[in-house]
Amino acid sequence: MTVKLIGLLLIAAGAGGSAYIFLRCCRSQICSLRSAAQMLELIEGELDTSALPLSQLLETISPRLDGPALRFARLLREGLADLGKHSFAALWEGALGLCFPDLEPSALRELNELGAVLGRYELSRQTEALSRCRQSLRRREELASSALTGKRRLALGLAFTAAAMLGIILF
Amino acid sequence: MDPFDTACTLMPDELANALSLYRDAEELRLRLGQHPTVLIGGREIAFSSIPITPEHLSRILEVATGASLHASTASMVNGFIPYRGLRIGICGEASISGGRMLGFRQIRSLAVRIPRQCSPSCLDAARACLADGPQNTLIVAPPGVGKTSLLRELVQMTSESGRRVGVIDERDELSGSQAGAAAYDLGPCSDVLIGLDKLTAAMMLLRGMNPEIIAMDEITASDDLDAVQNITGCGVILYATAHGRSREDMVRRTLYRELLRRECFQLMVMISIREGRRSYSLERL
Repeated sequence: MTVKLIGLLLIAAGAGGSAYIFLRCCRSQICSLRSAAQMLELIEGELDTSALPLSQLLETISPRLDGPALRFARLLREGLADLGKHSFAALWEGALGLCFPDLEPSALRELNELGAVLGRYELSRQTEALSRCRQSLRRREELASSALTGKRRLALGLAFTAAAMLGIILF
Repeated sequence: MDPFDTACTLMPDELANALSLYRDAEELRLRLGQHPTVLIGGREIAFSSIPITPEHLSRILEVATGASLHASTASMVNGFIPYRGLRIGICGEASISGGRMLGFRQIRSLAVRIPRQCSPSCLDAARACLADGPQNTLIVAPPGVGKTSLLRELVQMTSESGRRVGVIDERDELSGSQAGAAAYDLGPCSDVLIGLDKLTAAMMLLRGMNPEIIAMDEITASDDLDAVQNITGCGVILYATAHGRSREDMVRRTLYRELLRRECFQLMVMISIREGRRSYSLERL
């Protein structure tokens, strides 16, 4: 009886843990979207006001970044020393993949496309591309945030239902 | 880093390997769809059979601008980009808006000027210019023959003798600065003003830096004549360069005829190339 009880508790904990991990991924994705959007806003602002070279720009905005965006800015700045061996687009894409692993493929694709525009064209085209991408990321963040409550209920419900069914079947 | 090695770092690997055999190159010419060439002793020699592609040109500009073409717009509309002491000339389809050039819609050719170290004959010419002490000196030669190298040497020698030299480095070729570090040593007593037109820079130096000598490269516009007048009128010694093949050639052109008429210079140095060798002749004016 005790063993069955412990077994049931373990199954419930496992189900709860899975739900927790799923929800943590969702929250992490929202944080990544927010961090990336904030970074793009800062890049756009600096380009608009001072048109700094990218290496200097990344150094300037770094104190105002946190989380994955801060790691991304540092990694990209370091990577710019190897410009020539690797294209800027490749460095941008590489840094994105390492620092924003939680982003959905479609969001990552949009960010990757920026790497082919930044530093290559006139200022207005770069800021337009940044603005478009930033707005898209903000929309994704809003959608993901509003869907989070529903996902929380769904995940916990599914997890405990699965745990209950397993408990019934086993015991 | 040696300027030639700096130029090699700009090139894609397949071109850099072929280029490494031409250490005497004075210039690299990269034209879309054509074989890349080097300029040596006034002659262009193809250094690779690989035709230049748009990707080659994009890559070179990406490296030269640090993936920041937008930060180089001001110099691009003047037809060049400075990169660690090199001058990269740009040619292509201009992008115009409201009568103003914004940049290039498509780049079709690049010319990478590789500055040479002053040769023994250049050093001798510089010493000869300073034999009687610094004087108002005009260095004249056709493009790519070595005016800037001689000017740089004059500045360095003068500065090392303890005289204060203000350097007007409009195109960042004399000092070749990048990220705060100068590619060329202009001497311990030199103050360099980069990126400003000569007239504005001259007034700033005269008002703020108390120079004994001012150096400027390439007198090409009427405002430059005013800068010359302001400097020499204040009793400051001037070193400058101008395009020309001979004194007669200069006199045929309005700007230089006026420059000579104003009698601001005491010494003229003519540089010429014959059969790949440079010669320097000094003339007291």
